[in-house]
Amino acid sequence: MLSTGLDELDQLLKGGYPDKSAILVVGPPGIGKEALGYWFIQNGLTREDFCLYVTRLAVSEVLQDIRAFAINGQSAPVWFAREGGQTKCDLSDLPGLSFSVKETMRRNGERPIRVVTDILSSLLMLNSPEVIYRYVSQLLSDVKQYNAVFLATIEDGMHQPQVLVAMQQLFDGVVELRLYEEGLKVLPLLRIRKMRGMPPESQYYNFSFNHRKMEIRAYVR
Amino acid sequence: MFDSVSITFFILWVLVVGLFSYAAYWAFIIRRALVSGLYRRQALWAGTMGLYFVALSTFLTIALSFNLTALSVNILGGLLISSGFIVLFAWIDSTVRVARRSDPLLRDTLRWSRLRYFIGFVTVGGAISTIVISINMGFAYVAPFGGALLFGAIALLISATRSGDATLRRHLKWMGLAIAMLWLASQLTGILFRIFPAGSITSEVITYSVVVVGGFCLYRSARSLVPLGHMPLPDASLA
Repeated sequence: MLSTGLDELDQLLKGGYPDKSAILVVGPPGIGKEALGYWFIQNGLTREDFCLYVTRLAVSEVLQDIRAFAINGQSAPVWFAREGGQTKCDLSDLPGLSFSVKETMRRNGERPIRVVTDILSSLLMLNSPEVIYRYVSQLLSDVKQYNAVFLATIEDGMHQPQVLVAMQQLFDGVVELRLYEEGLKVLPLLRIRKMRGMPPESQYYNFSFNHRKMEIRAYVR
Repeated sequence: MFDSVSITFFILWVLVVGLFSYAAYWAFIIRRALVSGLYRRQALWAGTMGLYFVALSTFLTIALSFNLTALSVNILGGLLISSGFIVLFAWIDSTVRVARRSDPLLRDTLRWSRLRYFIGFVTVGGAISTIVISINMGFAYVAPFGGALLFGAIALLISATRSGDATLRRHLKWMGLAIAMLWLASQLTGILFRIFPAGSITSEVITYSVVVVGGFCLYRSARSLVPLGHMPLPDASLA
């Protein structure tokens, strides 16, 4: 198990994300799904794991987001980014991107590896879903040859529901962050939709980001 | 006692205020649930827009119903209308920036990152001239927010076509309709003034009806900031 970087989420997942797994975090824009990636990376850096962040944004934009969560950004992962990273993240060159990720992992394969990416939604908007299913499927099987956990975020509400469902099939774990309407209230709720090694769970959890951490508690209607 | 015109004004005002307040409520409640500063800012300005129109319609209803033309009323009217320029600009600016983030190629629509400084400058200029005109001639003579709306609407439309984000497209569609209705209402005021006699109930009903539709569109726009789900099964969510 690799710790998520959040005690509450680790408890929920009985220790963290499973080894050699691919995790998908689904949620609408702005809800904080990238924060799960930031904490995961941050935790990996403190344990001296090899951490790779693949983003469609510039490094400065991601760092700005990270700072908003008051996460200590002193140690840095390896960046594949639009600007400012060690490697340029070119979404129009899928084979090149895949090669760079695998090559970087090969060079650092002796340590536990953590990969976080936010490029899925963009890839789905730039290519047909079939192309991206095949691409992600191949990439994940390559990544799993290493002692790696791959965490990707995807935007809810941006894609057709069937595209989202099909994408979830490719991953070992799916964490859902959604806003639910209850009367005149809007509740941010979290659900572990599936996780390798865990029985299916229908429980929803309230979550909030307070005092530099994520607070999770069981939702009671 | 109140005449039929005042009563009609009041009923229409209640309708407008109710709709815009409800729109603001949803925008602020969604904002509370969001974490990212970019999206929180967008919700903040959508809510502020709703509150702004509550304040503006309240002021206009009172000032026009009681035919208030004192200097203090004109100053207040000028300040209120000029702050509308700023709020509108901030609302459009925050939405264009969100639209850029959801564009897979992160394109800078109309070079907005630079254009926003120019538009911002023009907006502040428009706001100041509004106050000056309002003090000198009266708030009723102030030109509506045409220019700011036009540039903003173009940037938003282009952003919407580039984003490919279904939720954002829905949000922008309702937002665009809200802006169009409010712009139409502001234009109608001047046109109807020439057709109907001053204080005509028909003129006010037409104008307010358009504002009511605008309020409804703003409400739908606020609700579509993010996809909102409903709990599927009551027993599935029990702890």
